[in-house]
Amino acid sequence: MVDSPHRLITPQHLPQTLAQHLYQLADHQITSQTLVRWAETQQWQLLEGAYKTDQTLAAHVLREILSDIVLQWECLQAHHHDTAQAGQELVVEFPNAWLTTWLQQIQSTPANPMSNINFNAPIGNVNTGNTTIQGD
Amino acid sequence: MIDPNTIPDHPRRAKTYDYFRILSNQRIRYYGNYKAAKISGKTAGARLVVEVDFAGIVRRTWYESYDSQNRVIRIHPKTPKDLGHVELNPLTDKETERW
Repeated sequence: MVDSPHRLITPQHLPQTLAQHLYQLADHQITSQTLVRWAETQQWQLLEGAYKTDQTLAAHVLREILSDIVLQWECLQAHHHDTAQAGQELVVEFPNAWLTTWLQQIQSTPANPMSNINFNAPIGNVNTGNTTIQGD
Repeated sequence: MIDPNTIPDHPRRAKTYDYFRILSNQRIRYYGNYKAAKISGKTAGARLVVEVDFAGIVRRTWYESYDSQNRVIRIHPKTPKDLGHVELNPLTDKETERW
């Protein structure tokens, strides 16, 4: 959690980068585990690292979103562990609906520099087809 | 029992985390915000726990998972070393499985 190869992102750029990672995950360019490891690093910077003293509303919202991503991963992994058949290989990924929720929460982050994020871009069009993020 | 106000960074942490507990070994545990699981099952939710010593140094972190009765059913130590998931019997607090 503390030591990580992930690049440190400033809180100002975090919403944009997180949204990009969520779209990459929806497009299967990265795995959920990759997203979670990245989110853990960024969350730690906001809790105990370089940005721990940032008490802005944006930082608070980001802490909550990153925390949700990391903790939902804990719960999802456990659920799959509990329900998997013996010998079954586990491939755990976040449902697309959850990615949509997190993108909507990012969009509501105060004063985020997300002008170049297209929230009308479909997410999860492979599996769900009609799940989209609504723009402003 | 230590006075938390003598521990560096305590006011900030007390504001950042959901609540804290003072331990008898000169440490404080800060409990992060609880997140209810989006998928229904044995795990009702989870939170981050950060343990800090009297100098304000983070010594250990882990995730705690809870059942519907708010009992700890699993821990996942993250630092200083990721030890994977440890399943606990909520009635005895004893380890039942590691994965």
